Amino acid sequence: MEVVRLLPDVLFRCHKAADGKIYWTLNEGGLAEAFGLTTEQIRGKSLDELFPGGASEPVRAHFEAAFQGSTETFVNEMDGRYFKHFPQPVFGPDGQVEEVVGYITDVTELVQAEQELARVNKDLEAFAYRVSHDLRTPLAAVATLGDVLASQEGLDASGQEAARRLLKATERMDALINDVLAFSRAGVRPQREGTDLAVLAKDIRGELRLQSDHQIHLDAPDTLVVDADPALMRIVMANLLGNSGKYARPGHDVHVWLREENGTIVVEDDGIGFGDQDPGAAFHVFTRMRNAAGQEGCGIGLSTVQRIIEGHGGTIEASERPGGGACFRFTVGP
Amino acid sequence: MRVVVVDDDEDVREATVMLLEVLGHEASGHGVPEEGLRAAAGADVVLQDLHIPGMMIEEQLQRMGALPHPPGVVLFSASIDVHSLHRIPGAAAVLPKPFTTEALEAALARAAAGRS
Repeated sequence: MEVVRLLPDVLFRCHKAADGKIYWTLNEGGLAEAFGLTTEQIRGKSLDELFPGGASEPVRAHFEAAFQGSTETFVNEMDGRYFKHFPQPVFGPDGQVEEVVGYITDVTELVQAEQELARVNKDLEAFAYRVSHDLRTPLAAVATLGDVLASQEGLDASGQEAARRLLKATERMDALINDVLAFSRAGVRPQREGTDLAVLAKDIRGELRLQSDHQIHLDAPDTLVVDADPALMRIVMANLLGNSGKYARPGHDVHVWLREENGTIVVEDDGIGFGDQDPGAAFHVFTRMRNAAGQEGCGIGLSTVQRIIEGHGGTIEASERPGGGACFRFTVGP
Repeated sequence: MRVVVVDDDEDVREATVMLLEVLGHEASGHGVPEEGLRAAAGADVVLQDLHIPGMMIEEQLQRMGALPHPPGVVLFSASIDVHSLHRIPGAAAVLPKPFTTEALEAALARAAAGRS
């Protein structure tokens, strides 16, 4: 026992008596001493006696589960501190749980750091949302005044060209604000539900048709459901399809194929592909691939896609499609 | 048509009024929701900004709907979450800012067509 007492945490051992209550037979380590709950001090006490006044309620179900054979860990809070329990049932010859041994460690700092991280992420998202709104408002005035200028009678050719370029630049700025906002949102924890990528892709293709110079022909199954965050997957599909439109072969429509191969989602097109460049480089923030002269965008789209996919616990890779074009393969985690 | 623009951002408001006039409409701009409401009484369509400090958008739309000849209402906003605007009753169309002339005309037409 002397060695166990050197542990900063707690080793415990408990069993269920004939009266159905859980009794401790061992509780040793730095934490046990700090709380005055060493083996000598708790001998013969049940769970309810150890945590009087209903304090045992939050942990009771977890201990009962451990006595049913569960090894699931759990965290409880006591006096503002958080403790993680690692229970391990010990089975007797009859296959019944004879006792539960385990380990308890103080995870207060970890829990507090997680809470802080969640709060900062939330603040950051709210900040990005606010900034995008406040950037877009004066931009709206600029764009509208550009429309007013473009509509003036008697405007000469260079005036018309200036108004056209002004409007084009405001469109780029608007797209840029959307991209930055999407990138900041990509860091949020996914809210998973059944999400139909085929339906999303068809939707997005319809929206892109209004903006893109190139026709996008989409070849997708009727349905392709994955367990993922629908709002985030919309950003993923919009970026992938948008890229297919941007990196089409000059003067040609582009074909996009969406399908599933053994749990991996494949999106590929017959555009210009990556040429002699490393396809993986496309995921780096602010990298714009060559051959994209005159194309809109800031190189943030695929980094956003990667952040979202990795936030889902999945992976994404880019490669050259055999026969020419870009190919993306991704998973969205378990 | 007669169009009333209600937006607390002066640049957006005046630019939108100018564009509406260039497009051949009769337009007036108002930065205070109360004044916008008064002007709305004689309008075909109201372009109403979603967020104005001190204004509850639901109440503003409700009061416009209660006018003797309610105008068609287009909600316009620089918020990215334009999809949430569909859940606000009383608006015939939504228009994200910035908008193109074509998008503006389409929204005006939808709002005017929806008038009873």
